[in-house]
Amino acid sequence: MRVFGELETVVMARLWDLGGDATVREVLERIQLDREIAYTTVLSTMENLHRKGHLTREREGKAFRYRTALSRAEHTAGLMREALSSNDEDAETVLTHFVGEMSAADLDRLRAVVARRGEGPAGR
Amino acid sequence: MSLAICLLAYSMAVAVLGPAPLLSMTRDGAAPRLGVAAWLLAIVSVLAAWLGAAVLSVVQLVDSWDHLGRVLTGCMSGLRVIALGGYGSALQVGLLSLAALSLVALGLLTTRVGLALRRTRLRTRAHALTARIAAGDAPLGPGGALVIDSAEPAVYCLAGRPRTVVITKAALAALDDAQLAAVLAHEQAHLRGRHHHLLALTQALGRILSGPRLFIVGAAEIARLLEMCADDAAARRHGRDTVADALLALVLPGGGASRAPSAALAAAGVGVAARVERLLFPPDPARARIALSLTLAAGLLSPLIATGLTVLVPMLCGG
Repeated sequence: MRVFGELETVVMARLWDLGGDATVREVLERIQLDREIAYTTVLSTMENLHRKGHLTREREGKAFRYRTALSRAEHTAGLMREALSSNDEDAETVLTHFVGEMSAADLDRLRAVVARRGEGPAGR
Repeated sequence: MSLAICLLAYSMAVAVLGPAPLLSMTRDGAAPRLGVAAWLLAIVSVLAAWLGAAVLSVVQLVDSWDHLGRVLTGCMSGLRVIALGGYGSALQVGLLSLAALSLVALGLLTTRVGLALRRTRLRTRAHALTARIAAGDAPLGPGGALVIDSAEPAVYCLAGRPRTVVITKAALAALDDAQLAAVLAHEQAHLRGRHHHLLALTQALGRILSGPRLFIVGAAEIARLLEMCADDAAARRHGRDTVADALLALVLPGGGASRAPSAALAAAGVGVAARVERLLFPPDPARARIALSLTLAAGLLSPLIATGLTVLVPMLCGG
């Protein structure tokens, strides 16, 4: 377990544990079950996450109530979509995939190579 | 002026005629590292020729002012004199506009490439944060990889600090231990070789200079060849067959039985089949090495020779 994981990750995980929305105080209390942490640290982390679009917020009395922009599953789905769509305008993220996208022709060629490998002594 | 024109002609020739022979030399990936070098040299030499032509036209312009005017020291006074028709000849106006245009074009290009690289860095950083959040509290995978709970088999790496390998649970399930080690070695080779910098630059150039084929084709080919370089690094430690099996395990989970490509793999793409083929049936690198080495030598020497001739011949002839 990464008890001392990166704060942004921890805050998001705790927010999802809390059902997706909470105040800074609630998140703080939740994290303090595992480790010592200051209110202002959690506050600035959550403001950062808000600025980066991972959290939305609305005023609740004197404080803000923060809400995760996406559910955990949606977040993961979004990550994979971003990671796997490397050939459109999103190409600005440079990710080197172990296996990139394949065209139908590429797949046919791959099958032919596999068949050749299975054919005999030449197929090492 | 002749050297500037020579340089422009050279750059046009490389940009238009270069891709075809380079493609035929690097297609089978017999010598991927030399292949990357050859493509890179072609790209860099075109850019250098543009820069050279721009610098020369400015030098020429200043020079001709010196000959004709001798009083003109600054650009503004030069412009005023030309505008007033004082010393300005048609030649000077032509030179001035050529120099100004080429400088503006180069300035624009540099700015756009710089902005594109910055955008890439920011987006990659944002993606890395999204990946770390998605991995959440899950224990790190082998080699410190972020493990993502997804049914899509995927392995990739992210540059930046910290450098990160991302792997999905589906990919972990599809690979045995040896294959997993090979995949991680492949990704580490990308990170160690700083392949991201090269890819970010060539891809930005490909997007911005979409006219000459060289930049688009070069970006795609360099990406493909770098995958092959990383495959070779993994194969040296874990064996060619293991790397090929790992590729196959992720692409064809049915062991090659007929299977439609998953949505993620169906988009137009490059390279996996060629990579598996060269791992299983390695092409003889000797011929590719000779051809590419000669190309590199020619590419490096010809601008030097051309420059030398242009500078030396007028001197020898007393010009």
